[in-house]
Amino acid sequence: MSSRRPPVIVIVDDEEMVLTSLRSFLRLETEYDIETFDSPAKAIERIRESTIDLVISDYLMPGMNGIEFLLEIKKLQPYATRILLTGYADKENAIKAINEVGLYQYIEKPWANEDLKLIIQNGLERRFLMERLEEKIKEVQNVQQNLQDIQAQIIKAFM
Amino acid sequence: MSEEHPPSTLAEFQAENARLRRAVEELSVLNGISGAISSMMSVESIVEMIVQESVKYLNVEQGAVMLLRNEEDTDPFRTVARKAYSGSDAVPFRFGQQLTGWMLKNQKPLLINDLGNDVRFRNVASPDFAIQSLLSVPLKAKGEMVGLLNVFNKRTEEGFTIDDQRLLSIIASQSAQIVENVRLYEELQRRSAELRESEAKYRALTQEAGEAILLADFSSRRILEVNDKVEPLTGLPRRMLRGRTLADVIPVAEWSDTDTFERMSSGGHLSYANVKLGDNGGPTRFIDVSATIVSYGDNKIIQVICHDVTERQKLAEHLRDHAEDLEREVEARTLDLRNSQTQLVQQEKMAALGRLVAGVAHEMNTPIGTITSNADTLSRALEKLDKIMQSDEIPEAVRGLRGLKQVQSVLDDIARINQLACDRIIGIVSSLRNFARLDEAELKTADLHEGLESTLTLVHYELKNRIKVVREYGDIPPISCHPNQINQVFMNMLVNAAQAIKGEGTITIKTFRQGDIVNVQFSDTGTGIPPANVSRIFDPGFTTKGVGVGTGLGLSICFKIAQDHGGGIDVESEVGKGSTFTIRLSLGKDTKAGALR
Repeated sequence: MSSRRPPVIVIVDDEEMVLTSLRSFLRLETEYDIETFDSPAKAIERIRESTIDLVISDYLMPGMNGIEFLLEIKKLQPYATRILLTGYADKENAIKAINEVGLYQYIEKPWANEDLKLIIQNGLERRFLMERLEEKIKEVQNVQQNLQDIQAQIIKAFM
Repeated sequence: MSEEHPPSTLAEFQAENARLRRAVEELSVLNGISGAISSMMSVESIVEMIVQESVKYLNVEQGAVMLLRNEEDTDPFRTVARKAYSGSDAVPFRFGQQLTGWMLKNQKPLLINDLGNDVRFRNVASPDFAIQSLLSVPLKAKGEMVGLLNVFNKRTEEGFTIDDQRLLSIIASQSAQIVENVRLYEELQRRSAELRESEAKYRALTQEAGEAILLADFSSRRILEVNDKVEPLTGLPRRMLRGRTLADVIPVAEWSDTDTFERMSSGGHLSYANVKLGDNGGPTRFIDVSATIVSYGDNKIIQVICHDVTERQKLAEHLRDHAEDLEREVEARTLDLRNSQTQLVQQEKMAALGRLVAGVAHEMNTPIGTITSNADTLSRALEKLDKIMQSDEIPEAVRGLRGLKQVQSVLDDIARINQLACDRIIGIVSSLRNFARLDEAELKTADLHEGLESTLTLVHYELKNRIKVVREYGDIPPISCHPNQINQVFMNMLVNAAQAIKGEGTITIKTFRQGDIVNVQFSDTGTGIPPANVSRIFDPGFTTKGVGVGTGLGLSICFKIAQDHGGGIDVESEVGKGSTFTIRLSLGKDTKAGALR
């Protein structure tokens, strides 16, 4: 894990009981920064403000379904890992949408805490790996840029 | 008449001679009359001849025969023949009524030589009256007066004599009987000719009528005559029909009912439809009977017309049979329809129930998810709490508190049990979901053992501790099927088996493969099915359970589902030992086309 800050996890579900359960469990078991929202709109507002690392969304919600919501997140913060927490009946729809959204994982309700914890861990790892990959790419690009600059100076010096 | 002794004088001789001549003449007249009569001429010609001979022989101007009419009339006589030998034919002849009246009353010869002065007829004899003298004698047959023989206006000076009267009387007596006989004969001829004519007409009518007609005597009800059509109808020859009673031939009770005949006598009409003949050994025919009373001469006759309606009857029967066939077919079709409707309704019911179950299962996901999660979180939290309590930072005094330990232990128990309870609920919800599998309307490849397990979870309550389930699962591949339907069949089998077992028992579920067929066998140690019922258990609507006891689809629908999956259901059962239902399902892909029946 990164030492800079605790990972930020956003959970969206229109059911207060789900939010509370997940929050209670994750707070007890992890050091993550858990933020819960009972509507996709509120969550989007929050996500516009600062970086998050992972988002868990219900599928069937008023105003916007989970897939639409996650698509929006994908645009805003592409590196945030996206997880769908669905009821059984939504499964088919969810599966159809997985490719569309680039879903990391879907979890069926009722969920098992232990499984959820592992999935979140892996998701975060992926997210940080992606970030680090990004950083490395940037580093490489910077190095390349430096090299190009140096090359240019050398060329200038010798010509 | 002549004397016997011979004539002695000339005068006597002449007188005798004249007498003989008269006698000869008389005889010749009589002979002529007899000859004419014997030649069997008509009454008119006989009478004509009598009048003619009388006029000629008696030397009178006119003669006439009047015969009594049969009918009562204002004028009882009619003039049959009249002969006039005077210069004028048109002799007034208007005092006939007076004369005939007198003759009828007195019934003896009347001789008048001076009519104008006769006191008996003075009021009708006027000066211009052409008749001066007359001789009238009655014509009598068997002592009855049948007419008059009259002659008028004797041409001799002396007028009518006693001899004339005698002669005319002889002629009359000779003629009367014969005239009467001939008249009667003629009458008879005429009547019988009329009768023959009407009979012929009637016969023609009846024979050509096309209908069988029987004539029977009114009082005795016995058959007098039948037409040609009756023989083939009754199977009896005409001679055997005559004399039988109507009731013998046409079985209608009213033949012996007096009231009916009274009604018929006053113009009524008796009619029956579809009277069956042939109970007396003749051919079986059906007739419409119509009876009326007709007067035939002086007799009352029952006229029975029979219209043969056997063909119509046959046609009607044919139609009735046909209609019955149709009705049966309609009934069968209706039953089919009702059965398939029952099945549809049942299937729809089950589908609705499935949707309900799936809906409920879905709705339970969220609350159960949270409770399960919470129970888990609680356990973890308690674990953490315990660790914290064990740490050195906690004073020994606090750790040693009895109350704290107790609370921790209670919370531990509750968390553990909550988790178990949640697991149970999750299992049931998952089974319900699997069982209903409403999202799988199409053919899916499914593991039957999974389906069996889901179903067993759902009927757990039904089996409980009472029934032991033995699984003898063989090596069977997944099959292409509608899993929700198959699960419903399993459910049905298990519920039926459980209901068949009173008290404790065993249900053995065996699966095995035979070529392209997968068999799922349910054997119970229940009461068994009586042989009489075995063939009917797949009939829609057949049940031995009370209303409301039956669960699931009913075996008819199970059978249909198995059929739709290219298989069927076999039953073996023994009363007291139990039943084995084997569900055969095809492995194949095109299961609908592979249906066995």
